[in-house]
Amino acid sequence: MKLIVKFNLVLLLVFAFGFVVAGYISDRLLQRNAKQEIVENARIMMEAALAVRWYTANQIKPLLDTQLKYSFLPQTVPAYSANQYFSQLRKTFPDYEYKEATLNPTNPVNRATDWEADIVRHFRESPSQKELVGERDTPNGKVLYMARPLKITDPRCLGCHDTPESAPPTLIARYGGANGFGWKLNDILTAQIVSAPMQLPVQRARIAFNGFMISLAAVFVVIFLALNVTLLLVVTRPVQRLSEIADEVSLGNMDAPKFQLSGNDEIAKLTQSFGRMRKSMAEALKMLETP
Amino acid sequence: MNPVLLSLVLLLLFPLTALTQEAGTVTLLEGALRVIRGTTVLLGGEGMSLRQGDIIESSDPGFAQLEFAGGAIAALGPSSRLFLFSHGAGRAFAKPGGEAAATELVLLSGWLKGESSPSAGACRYATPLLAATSRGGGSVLVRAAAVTEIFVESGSAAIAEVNPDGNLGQSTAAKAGQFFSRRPGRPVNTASRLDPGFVNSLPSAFRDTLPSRLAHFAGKRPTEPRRQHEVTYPEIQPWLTMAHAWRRGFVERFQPRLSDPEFRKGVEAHLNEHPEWDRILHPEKYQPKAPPPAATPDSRHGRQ
Repeated sequence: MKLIVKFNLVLLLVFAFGFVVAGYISDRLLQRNAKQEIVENARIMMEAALAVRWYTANQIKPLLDTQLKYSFLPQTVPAYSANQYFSQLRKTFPDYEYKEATLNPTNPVNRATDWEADIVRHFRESPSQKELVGERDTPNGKVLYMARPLKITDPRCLGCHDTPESAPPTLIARYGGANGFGWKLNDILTAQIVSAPMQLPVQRARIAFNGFMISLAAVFVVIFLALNVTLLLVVTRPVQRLSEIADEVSLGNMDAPKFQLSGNDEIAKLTQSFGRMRKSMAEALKMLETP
Repeated sequence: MNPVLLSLVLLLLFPLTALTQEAGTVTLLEGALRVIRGTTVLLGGEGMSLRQGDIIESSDPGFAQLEFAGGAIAALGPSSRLFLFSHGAGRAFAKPGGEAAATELVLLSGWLKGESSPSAGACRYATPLLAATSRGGGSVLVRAAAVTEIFVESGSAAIAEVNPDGNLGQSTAAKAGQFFSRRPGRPVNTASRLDPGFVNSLPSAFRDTLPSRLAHFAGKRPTEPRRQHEVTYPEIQPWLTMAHAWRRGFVERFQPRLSDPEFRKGVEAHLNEHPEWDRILHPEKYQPKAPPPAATPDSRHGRQ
């Protein structure tokens, strides 16, 4: 087997092993980073939603309190403004969804579904838990979600959620007196949930992975070609030429062309040594032929 | 001077000074504002002073905010007519059937929103059918031909039927959120929810709390209203024919206008609606009758 073949076989084996290992590790890392990025985005979105809620409760509602006596204005409800903010955000980030899932909401749109109700109950049972990240299966595929509890800490919230009698008549006229009452201070009835399809991090990771692996393969190919060309020019060809000349000299053709490489590497030294040996051999033969 | 005599003189002079005292200021105006002061029609503007007895009429579209000494704020909607019947700035005026009120505004037609703090004293917002007396809080009134409605927006108020003579009937304590309506000849109807028609036609500025703008005019000379013309009979006729309790003093006030033949003709034509003018137009009817000739001793004797 030729030297270059052996060399290439080893090189290919090493490259293949490195490619697989690098692919596996990078895939895991990229998947994890993509998920982490989505969770981090979800955190920012939730914090922004909380900021909008605060702004609504503390600055918008007081301005509209008098108007609320004439007609119900959903713009005064923190949950409404958070949802409105998110629906605008979705125009840029259509993959994300936001819901303030509530066990006993005034507006039925905010009623928690089964899995959301489980999350709210989980937060009620573990009040110290501040965040929950998980995955769940849906008919459209896996979904990544992040949830946070919303505790009722502002007594003003009870103005609309204590009893139907104490709630603004315009709110009752809009939603009736059956739902959204009986809330207590420091109670957890709502969970903010941001969700995104798992396909999203997978897709993002896949895109990054493909890019990385293609780059890696390209680097391997370049290295492979460079090493082969170098091996051919620096080792294989000089050795082959040297071998041919040695063959001719061994057959008694002392007129075979000289072959000597300049330089200081091993092959150059070999040619220099071979040249000296050939010269010595020629002189020795001359001495033998001289009577 | 004897202190008792001095007090009596001051007490007698007080109503005159009260009449010329500034009762409030126009602090916000959209559209035109017509003010009938004395017998003159004026065109008002922001910063104009108001006086007791002023009749204020807004344009359509239009909005006017009036702020009174003592802290009460009133807003007039479009096409609204208001009479500043009394303003005591802490002095309360008693009225048969109702509690004494420091300020009484009479809404003849259109929209009125009144807001006051407890320090402003009792404020009465009256219409020919219903009246609200508030000691802090806000009320919105609308007076149309078919119905008069009052919404107690905040605080509390006493809601009373207004008798045809302008005095108050029995009053009902009302709390924030209650809605009252009355049609002519019918009793008061109370509801805990607003009538949708009321909400739909409510001037948009009435949906918010009235912001005080008095500070903008502090230390500035009051805006002088522009004199338009002397009041004509058609302009004043609705006021001359309103309930007696409010039109008291109008004969003396508008009597100088009788020198205008048109005005006189108008008064004469509607004399049955304001019969108190008869004494002025036809004083001869009210001259004391000449006593019968004194009986002679002979006739006395003859009778015997």
